[in-house]
Parts: sequence; C-alpha cells; structure tokens
Amino acid sequence: MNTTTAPAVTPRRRRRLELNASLVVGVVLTIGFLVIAIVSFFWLPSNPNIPNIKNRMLPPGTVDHWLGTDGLGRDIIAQLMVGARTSILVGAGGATISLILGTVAGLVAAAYGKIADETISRGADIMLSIPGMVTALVLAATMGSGALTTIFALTAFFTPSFTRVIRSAAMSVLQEDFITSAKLYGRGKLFILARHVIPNIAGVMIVQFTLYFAAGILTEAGLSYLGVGVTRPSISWGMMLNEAQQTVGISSPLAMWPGLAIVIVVLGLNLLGDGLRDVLDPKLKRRS
Amino acid sequence: MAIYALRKLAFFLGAVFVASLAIFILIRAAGGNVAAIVLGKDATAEAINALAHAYGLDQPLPVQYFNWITNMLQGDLGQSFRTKESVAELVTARLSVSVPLALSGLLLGLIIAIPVGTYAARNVGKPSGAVLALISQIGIAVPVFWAGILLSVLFGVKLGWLPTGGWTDWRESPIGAIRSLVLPVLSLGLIMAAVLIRYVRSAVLDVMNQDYVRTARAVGMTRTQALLSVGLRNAALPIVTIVGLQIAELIGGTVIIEMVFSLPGLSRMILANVAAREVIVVQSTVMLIIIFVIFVNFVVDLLYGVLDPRVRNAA
Amino acid sequence: MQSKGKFGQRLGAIAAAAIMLAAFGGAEAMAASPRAAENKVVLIARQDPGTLDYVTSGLTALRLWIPANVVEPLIYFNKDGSVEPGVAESWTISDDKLTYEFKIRKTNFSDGTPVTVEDVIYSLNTMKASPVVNNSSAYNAVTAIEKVDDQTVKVTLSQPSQNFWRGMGSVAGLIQPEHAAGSIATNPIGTGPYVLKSYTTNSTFEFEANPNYWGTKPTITAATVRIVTDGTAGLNALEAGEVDAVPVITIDLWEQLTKRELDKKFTLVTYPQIGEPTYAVFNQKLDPALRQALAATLDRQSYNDAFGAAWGAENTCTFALPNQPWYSPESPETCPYPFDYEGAMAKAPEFASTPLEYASLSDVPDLSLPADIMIPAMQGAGFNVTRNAIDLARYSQLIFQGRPPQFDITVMSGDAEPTQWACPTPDKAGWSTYCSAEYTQALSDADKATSDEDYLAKMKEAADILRKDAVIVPLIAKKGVGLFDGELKGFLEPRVLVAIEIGKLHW
Repeated sequence: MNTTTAPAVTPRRRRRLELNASLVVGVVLTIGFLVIAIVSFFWLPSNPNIPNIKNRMLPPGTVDHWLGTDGLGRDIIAQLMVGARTSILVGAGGATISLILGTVAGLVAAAYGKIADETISRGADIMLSIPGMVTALVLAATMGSGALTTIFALTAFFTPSFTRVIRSAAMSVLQEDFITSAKLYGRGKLFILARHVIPNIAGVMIVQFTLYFAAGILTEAGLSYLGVGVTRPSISWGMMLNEAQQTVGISSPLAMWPGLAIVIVVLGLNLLGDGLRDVLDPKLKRRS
Repeated sequence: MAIYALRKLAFFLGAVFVASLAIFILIRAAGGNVAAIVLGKDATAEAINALAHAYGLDQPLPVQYFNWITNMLQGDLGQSFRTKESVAELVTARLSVSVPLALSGLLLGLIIAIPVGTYAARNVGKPSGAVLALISQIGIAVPVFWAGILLSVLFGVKLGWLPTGGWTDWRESPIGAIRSLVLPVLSLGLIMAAVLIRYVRSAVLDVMNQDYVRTARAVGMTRTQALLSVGLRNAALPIVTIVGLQIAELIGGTVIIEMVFSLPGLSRMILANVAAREVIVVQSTVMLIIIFVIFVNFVVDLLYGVLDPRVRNAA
Repeated sequence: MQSKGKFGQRLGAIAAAAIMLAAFGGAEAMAASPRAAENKVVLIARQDPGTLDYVTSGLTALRLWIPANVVEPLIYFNKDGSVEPGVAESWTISDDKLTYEFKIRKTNFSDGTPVTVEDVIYSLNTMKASPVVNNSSAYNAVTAIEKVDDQTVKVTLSQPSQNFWRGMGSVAGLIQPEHAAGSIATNPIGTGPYVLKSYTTNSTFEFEANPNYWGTKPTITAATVRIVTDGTAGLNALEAGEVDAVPVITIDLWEQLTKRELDKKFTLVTYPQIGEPTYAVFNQKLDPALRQALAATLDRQSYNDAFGAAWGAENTCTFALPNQPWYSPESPETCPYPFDYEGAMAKAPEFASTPLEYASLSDVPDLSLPADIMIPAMQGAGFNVTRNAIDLARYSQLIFQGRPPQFDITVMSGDAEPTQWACPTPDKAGWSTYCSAEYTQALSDADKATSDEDYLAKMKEAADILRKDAVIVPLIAKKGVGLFDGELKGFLEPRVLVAIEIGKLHW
C-alpha cells in the first residue's frame, strides 16, 4: 500500500490521542443507540401507539412514565425507543442503498473510460445541484409519506455524493503500481475491481457510511418534522417534535426529548466516523 | 479558457434541461388535481373535468411540458390557476422574506466560522482546539428546526423579547420585519457556522502545510504573519467553493426554518402549492431555485478556472 | 492565549448586540391596540382559500370572509328566525309557496355600477348551475327565474321548498354584477359594507369600507385578515398585540388556549354556526353488522378528552350542530350503536379476515389526531385495520372524486348540512358512499313542508335514519370558538352561513 503520508504540523502522538477519544465516545454512543433499538423489539414500557387518555400529559418523573406522556397518554420513553428503530431503518437504509448504488456508479466511472466517467460525474453534479429538501417535499406528495418514501428521498440525496467519493478513491487506487502489474498479468477489469480496488477503498466506504447514516437521521427527522416523512404507526423523533409543537406548543418538555435524542445519536455517529477515518484510512487527512 | 467556459455553459444548460424534466414528471406523478381542490368535496366529476379543461390540464403531458418550457424560454413563468396571479409576482413577493433570511444566515455563519475555524486550525492538538472541534461537532448534530425551537422557547416564550413566529411585512414595519427575522437567522446561522467551521479549519490546515507558508516561516515570519500574508489568500478559494456547495444546503435549511417560524417565504409557498397541486406554480418556482443553484455553481466553476490555471488546463 | 481572549470578547460583543436589538424591539410590541383609534382591525385566518370564486368553490376559508362583507345575499336570516332585507328590499311569497317575487334595492355595486334585475337573474342562474352541490341544491325545485319589471324578479317553483328560501339568505343567494364575473376569483364585487382592496394568496385579505354601501356605514373603516396557517403562531400574534382577534380557532388549539389562559386575557366567544361535527365514515359496501361493530369501538369521550377541550365540544351520535333543532347529544335513545368495547371484541373474530383501509388525511391535525385514537382502538378490538396516510390532494382524488371512493374507514369534519347526504339512486352516491332512498325521501318531504313543525318532524326522522345506517357516524360536535381583544365589541353570530361580519364590530 501507499506509504506517503501527509505532512503533519502537530506532533502525531497528540493528534492520535484526540482522535481515539472521539472514536471511543462515538463507539459508546452508537452502541448505546443500537442496543436501545434492539431492546425495543423485545421490551417496551408500554405500547407507544395505544392512547390512554386518562394518563395524558403526565409530567416527567411520573412512576411508570419517567419522561411523561404525550397528548394522548402515550409513554414518551416507549416512543423514543421505537423512534430509534425508525432512525436506524431509515438512516441506515438510505445510507446502505446509496452506498451500493454509489459504489457501483463510482467504480464504473473510475474504471470504464472517459464517456462513462463524464456521464456519471455530470449526472451526479446535476443531482447535487437540486436542493434536496425541495425535492423531498414534492416526492412526499408524489409517493405519499412514509418510511419507504423517506428512504427513497435519502437515496436520491446521498447517491451522487457517494459516487463522487468512491470514484476519486477508486481512481487513486487504480493508479497504483500493483494494479499495473495485475493488468500485465492479464487480469480482467472486474477481477481487479473486486480483488484489489474494493478492499482498498473499504475504509473510505465504512467511514462514509457512518457519516451518511448520521446525515440520514438528521434529514429524516427534518422531513418528519415537516409532516412529509414517517407516519404512524411508525414513530420518528422528528414526528414527535411535530406532534408536540402542534398539540401542546414548543415550550413543553415533549419538544425537548426527541431533539436531545437526535443530537446524541448524530453526534455519536459523526464522532465514530471521524475516529474510524483515522484508524482505517490514515492516508486521508482529517478533512471536512 | 473559452473552451473551458463553453464546456461549463453546455453543462449548465444540460443540467437545467434534465432538472426541468425531472420536476415536471415528479409533480405530475403526484396525482390529484387543482380543479378538484378548488371545487371542494361535493363537486361533481363533470364540473371538475370542465374546470380542468379550462385550465388546460386535460392536454397530453408532452404538450403541457412543451408549452411550459416554451413559455419559460420567453420569460413567462405562468400563473396560478386559482387566482391568475403570475408566478413572477408570487415569487418576488416571497423573496423579501427568503433572501434576507438565507443571506443573513449564511453571513452570520461565515462571520462566526472564519475566525473560529482559523483559531481551531492554529490550535490543533491543544485543548482549546479540541474544545472548539467538539462544539462544532455538537452543532452539526443539532437539527436546524430544533435549534429554532430552542431559541424560540428561550427568547420568545420565556423571555418574551422576540416573536416566536409569524411575519410583519417590511412595508408595514421594517423593525417588525427585522424582529421576525432575528430568531430564524440566528438558528440558521449557528447551524451553518458549525458546518462551516470544519471546512474553514481544514482549509486553513491545508494552507499551513503548504510549502510557501513553511518557507515564509523559515525566513522568520511568525505563524500569524505567514498565515495573513500568504495563507488566507490561498485559503479563500476553497472557502468560496464550499459556500457555493452550501447553497443547496442553505436552501434546505431555510425551508425548515420558514416552517418553524411560519414565515411566508418561498418554501412555504412551494409547500402550499404542492398541496394544492398548482403544478405550474410549483414547476416554475422550483425551476427558478434549481437554475439559481446551478448558476451559482457555474459561476464558482468559472471563477475557479480564472483563479487556478491548473483547473482550466486539466479540463 | 491572547487570541482566545479576543475571540471571547468578540463573541460577547455579538451576544450583547443581539440582546440589545431584541430588548429594543421588545418595547415596541407592548403598545396596546394601536388600531383602535384609527377604527381599524387586524384579524387572523387559519386557511388560505386559494380562490375567492364562491360559485365554484365551497371552501370555508373563503365563505368566512367574502359573503356578507363584500357580496350580499338577497335576504338575511337573523338568529331569532326573523328575516331582514339584503339586496332584495322586499319580497312577496304566494300562499301556495310556489312563487317568490323579490323587489331589488335601488343601489350600486362597490364598483359604482347600478344593481340591475339582469344582474340578479344572472347571479341566481349561475348559482343554480354551480358545481358546488350546497349552492345548486337550493334551486332543485326552481323552474323559472324571470324579470317582471326593472325592479322585480320572479322565481317559480315546482313544489314548496324550504331549501330555496333558506338558500336565498345563504351563499346560494349571493348577488354579483354580471360584468365583473371574470375577476371573481381574485376580486369579487358586491353590495356589501366592504370592498376587497387586495387579496394575496397565503398572506392577506385587505378590506376597506365600501363608499357605495346602501346601509349604515360600518364603524370599522379598514380590516386586514392575515392568513397564518400555523395555529400557535396565530395565538402568539394575538397575545403579542399584533392582531385584534382570531375569530375561528380550530379544536387542535383549544388546549393551548386555556393552558396559556388566553381565554382570560381576551374575550372568548363560542358560537355553534362555525362549529363542525367530526364524524367517522364507514364505507357502505361493508357488511352492516361490521359497520355496527366498528361503531361500537368509538369511545366518544376519548376524542373529546384528547383535545383537552370538553368546554367547546359535545359527544353526539347525531349528524348536526347544537343550533339545529334536530340535534341531540349522546344518549341511549339517540345512539343506536353506543360505545361497547367488549361487544365489539366479541364480534371482531367474525370479520378478522376482512382487511380494512383507514384513509387518514396526514396534513390536517384535527383529523389525524382522531386517527391516532381510532386505529389502535379498532386494532385492539381485533379488526384488521391499516392506515393509509395521504395529503389533501390525494384524498380529493381517491375519496372525494374517486368513484367508487377508495376507503373503508375515514374521519371527516365539515359542515352539518344534512342534505349533502341526499342520494336518489345508488349510482348518485357521493364520496361518503352513503345512499338511502328512505333518507332522501325524508329530506325531500322536509323540503316540501309548509309549516316549521312539519319540517322539524321530517328532519328528525331523516337524522334517525342516518344514525341507524351506521355509515356516517358522528363523534363530537365542535363549537365555533373565537378570541377577541377585550375592547373589540359587537361580534355577531354568522347569519350568512359562516361569514364573520366585520361591519358589526366596533372598538
């Protein structure tokens, strides 16, 4: 592998230390998030969709409803737990599909000649210049709102950026000496891509996946907050904020919990991505 | 250079065409019919068909697309079916909300991000740099609408200093208009700042690693002097690019912020017209936004070509 | 570390500037009702009608502001049942109630042109042909609309019709100038106390006193109606003194209203006319036993409580509002299928294999909340219900215009006009799928009634048929609720359907 390193202005030892801290915090927050989502399949304090009008608007700290209940008496913790599930489904779903599509498109652009490259790169440029939020609003009207539509919208936003990143990573690998020797051995393009390129860009892929997972959660929350994302019986943190604002007003604690949950989870994933970048891909300087 | 510019122009036009087709297909695929919405729930099918005919919505889709594009090319953006107001007028009226919001938001973001990002870059590895990096990380994780909600609760509900939402028109009271914009701009600007700080920081870091800065330092300049004399000029280019790229992002942010603070801006107009299936208004307005974004990127590309001969030659 | 200090100072300066700007502006908002001295008002509307063409659009968002204020009907019905002249100065009704003669007032429209018999005939004929059923149904019995002389119009009916007479005091009786019909969508012209100076979609209506008005000039000389779709923002604006009244407040805001004690700081008015029933609709194609079992899962009190607004809504099984004489609140006598969850659970296994689609309007909060209660309740009882969340445009396409309409269960809120469910033959069934010859006959008998007692008896009979059929299943009857600045007096309960009469207000 390439061994040239970026010139470092700061002592390397200290930078590493800082990076590992972000990796550790990121891992802890992300695992906590995943565990909560997994637990929600086996155990919930109560059904988050069944109203219990007698218990409506209980304040935080109530026995059996530690974060209180909403306007229909549904437990907040239960809703937050199921919301974590939706965040994973939609965020990771959108990121995964875009990762697959972006990898295919990026590899084709990098390895299959100038025309393929131009078409794919310019196509990605066009898609990137369309404001995603505006498209999502129209899309929600077209496809009806729901988790699937939201995943679709995320895929439309993320695929072009993935394509760009994968393309440039693959291109730099394709210029390496060992690829030239593989070609001399008469290896086919597909073989080279599968055997040499993909393993070498796996680090980039994992890092990008983590960051777009986080971006997906943020975007999903935004769309659901606007009322064009996830709908019940699915529950999303953005939707909970929307419901809180519409029924009891923003000053209620109901508008605080889902926001906090989003911040913690997105922060965790971003820290994890940054930390992973340094471990998996030391070649890349810390950018963005 | 001329060839570079022509290539970019061809791409610009191609992008606009593809986008127009995409938005047309999307909104038409949505189903629903403005005639049905105008007539309400008790209207008969005949009445709806008659009204749709009067609106020209019964023509074949390719014909409708062709008419729309031809009119656009002649500078006619079309009009609302329901009120006959022209799209140009509708958009202009909304811009007095959306443009100040987006521009001030971006400006506030830059005003915070440039000094803080530079400072963070110069203190990489020190505790102060790490703290700033963490703050910026947290800022990126905050959804812009939640930032809006928190600010609105603090300054609007608890302190009562500023309106929690709504809009006072500039003509009615300029101070009122500014007051309605303070919290939206603050929410947008803070979140933009968090994103931009990271870009500024890495741009400055890159510049500090460049040979000329190291040379400047070798000849005895302090790091600050070196950064100011040669570094900042070179860091400006990537920052300009980022601002160009952030335009789409910025528009996305204003969409949500306009909803949080119920400002009568462009995005709320689009949302209402999507809901009412005012297809021409939606198509033309969204096209205007897309053309604007693509145009900004086009100009940034050209600037890049002018400023950096390597880009021009590579293309 | 010096630069860190500077950075801190800079941040501090920015924060201080922001706080000063905020505090400076804050003082301005404290000034109390600056519009009182100028005899102006600023009101808030929640919805934008998009068009002002009251002939082709039946939207409440337009009926709130245009009738009575800008365009007047032939006559006005007062709350006590008495009739007052409008565009018609006087009228005569034949003993057999088949001929109506209206003497038209000698006055001008707001654009200065005189009101002619031709304009009146044009207006009535336009309404007779209106695509909005509520408008045209007033003319079902009308056989001729003729000019008698330059000041008199004669309307001939084939049979006595209560609907015709009532319609002349409603939207169906609005009089417009024929020559201005082309601009009705943005600038409707009439004889009312106000002229619509401008209408900006999604933003404002601007009204000004009509210099050509025939009656007593109104005290309020200019009114702005601001369209604020976010209900909370509307209440905030009222609280901040930016507006003087929010005359129509939908149920999803009632809880906020009492929690924030706005009902104490402002004058709260409740009036049934602008109220609406919220009702479930079970597709008539479903087995009647299934519909009855579904109806038994509806715990009306829970819908009322969920809005935290028991003071403004009443549980009912009757499709009507409390101001309509055939109304009755929820009671064992008037609820053929009362809340009986165990009973519903016992019947559910029989229908467990029937998939039921609940069409839910996702962008209307006061309709998506009932869905949040109803769907889990039905699922919990053992029914196979799935939720299909769609926006209004899709809802219009699939349900209001869909033939057959694409739903099994839905919830709607709307006007309480019982004639909207009339249906002579099954192929004429409307979006609700409800069609009953018996019900239609009862309504028709009521229309023909020549005495008020007879009319009431027939309407009660119709209401009873509707209840028993379990297709249109009412949940609650909501009152109209409004908040007014304490100094703004004179609010009059709507006379022309739901119209808010600005001309009756005064400081």
